Amino acid sequence: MSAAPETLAIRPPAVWLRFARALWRTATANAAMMTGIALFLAVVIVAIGAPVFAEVDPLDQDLLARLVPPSPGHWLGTDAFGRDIWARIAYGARISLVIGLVAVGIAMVIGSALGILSGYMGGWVDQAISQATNILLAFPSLILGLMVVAFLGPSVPNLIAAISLATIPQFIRVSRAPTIALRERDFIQACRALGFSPLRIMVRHILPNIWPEILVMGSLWLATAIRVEASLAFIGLGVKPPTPTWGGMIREGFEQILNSVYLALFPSLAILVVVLALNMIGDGLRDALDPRLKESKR
Amino acid sequence: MTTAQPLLQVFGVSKTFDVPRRIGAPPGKVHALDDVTLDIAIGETLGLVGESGCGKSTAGRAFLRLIEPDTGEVWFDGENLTTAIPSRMRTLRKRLQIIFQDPYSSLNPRQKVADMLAEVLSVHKVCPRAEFPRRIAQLLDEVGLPASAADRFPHEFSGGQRQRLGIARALSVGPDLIVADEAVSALDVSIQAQILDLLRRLKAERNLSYLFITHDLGVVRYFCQRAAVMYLGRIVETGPVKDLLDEPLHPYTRMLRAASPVPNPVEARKTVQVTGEVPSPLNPPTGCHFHPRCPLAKDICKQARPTVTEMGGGRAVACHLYG
Repeated sequence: MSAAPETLAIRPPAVWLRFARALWRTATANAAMMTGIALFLAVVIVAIGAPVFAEVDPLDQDLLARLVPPSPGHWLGTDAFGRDIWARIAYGARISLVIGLVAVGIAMVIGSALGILSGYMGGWVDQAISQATNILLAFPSLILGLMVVAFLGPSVPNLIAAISLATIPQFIRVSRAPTIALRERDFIQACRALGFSPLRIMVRHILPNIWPEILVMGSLWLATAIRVEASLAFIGLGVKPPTPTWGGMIREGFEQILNSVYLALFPSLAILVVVLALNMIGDGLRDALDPRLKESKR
Repeated sequence: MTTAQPLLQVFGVSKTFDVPRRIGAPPGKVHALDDVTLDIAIGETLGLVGESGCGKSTAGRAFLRLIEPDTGEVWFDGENLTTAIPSRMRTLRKRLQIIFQDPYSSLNPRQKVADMLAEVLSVHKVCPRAEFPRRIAQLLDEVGLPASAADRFPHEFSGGQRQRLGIARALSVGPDLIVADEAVSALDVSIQAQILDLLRRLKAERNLSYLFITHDLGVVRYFCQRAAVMYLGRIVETGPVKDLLDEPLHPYTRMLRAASPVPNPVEARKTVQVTGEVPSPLNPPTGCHFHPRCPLAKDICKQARPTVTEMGGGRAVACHLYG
């Protein structure tokens, strides 16, 4: 050693902890994101605790209490078969959330894997994946979902497959671009010089540097996935009745719109709340992760 | 020096890059490397000198096959790297390492130092896992960092310390040849000297050879035994550093020499002044690439590419003045 090393800086916390703190800072400073988180958590709690929050079975018909407006016995009223709307919304939240979360989760995994592969390998691999992505992107996600469900038939797994397929291209795009930027960075070149396999470089060195972007995209597309599921249910390609789904309820409510507005109104509001909440969270996450936005807000 | 057995031999390596077509412009090709031939002996430090954009970095990367050369061959210790199959190449990479210019871009920001070094040790099965902590501490000590550095992330270090980490990473596989791509250019002068001393000490201890890519003639004089001067993708002059810098043969070397600060300001500058800009590598001048800037250019310089002339004493120059 020819000279004393420069003194070491004070040790900051681990990456995930810094990320969590940045999130917390943004969330507390960002009323919209706080509201979004609160609303989304409320929906999740209602979905998980549906039997607790709604003591009536969502399938129980009470033909003597059809199309009842909101009242103490039925908070949100009843539908054309006398089924409790609140119970149906609470149980319907389960379908919406499960399909949305699983579909987006699958799309996130497959899409980022393909996007990283495409961006890192380049050449014909990139060409093939990018062209396939462009073809999928050319279809609106609803139309794509519609085609898949029409082909496979409506069921929870098929809906998940349809929505995943429609969402995968988004994750391919969001992971491919930063991968291309990272590929030329010296530390990736160093990995190559060290003889690391492409798989190792992609999983251990590229993924850890781009997952925050993927996460933001995930929260925003979860909202879209829930909307697409509801739309499919609305046009009759959702989970089969009598299972309660928000989209299906709107459809049934639509038929009774002249008799009672509540049937369509309340499930619509539920979708509105979830989509709004997720968009607020996604926007907040994006602000938290984008250093340029952070600078300008200070 | 040329009598020593060459560790790395490069024969006629060329590399062109396609330039994306712009509206109204013809599709372009950049000849980043044009028929580059050089060799590095065991234990030798070869400086590769040239202005920005002349292809020095591309050369370093092409020799390591981080960029695939279009034509030409690279031989390392009697083995042809250009035709090595991927699995063999991965093994050979242990012996060929690289240090980068920008210490802020050369380390994975999400990886602790210990993880970074442990990954290399485990991929190449350098030693049993139980010995990793000891080996990591040893590597850090070798580059002048405390063992406590292992538990930290790259952003916790200064530029000079990061460069030491990059060196530790390169050393972890036990290389024979290190390509130092502007390894000290991004550092303060005081830190530069520390890093150069470190590299020199490591060379002696581990019998390393270096390909030292730089634009700084002062660093070349201080650090290298032999140098090659590059202009627009071509090697224009090679020779022992002292001869090459004290009596440059090629007009371009003279120009570079004139442009770099002189340690003794009293000493008169007899050499030519730097004139003109580096031409676009997209559309390089005909014949000798240097002729538009060369004060001694003749007609033939515009027409024919000069061949390499051996000048004795290990010197060679590609210039019509000596042809």
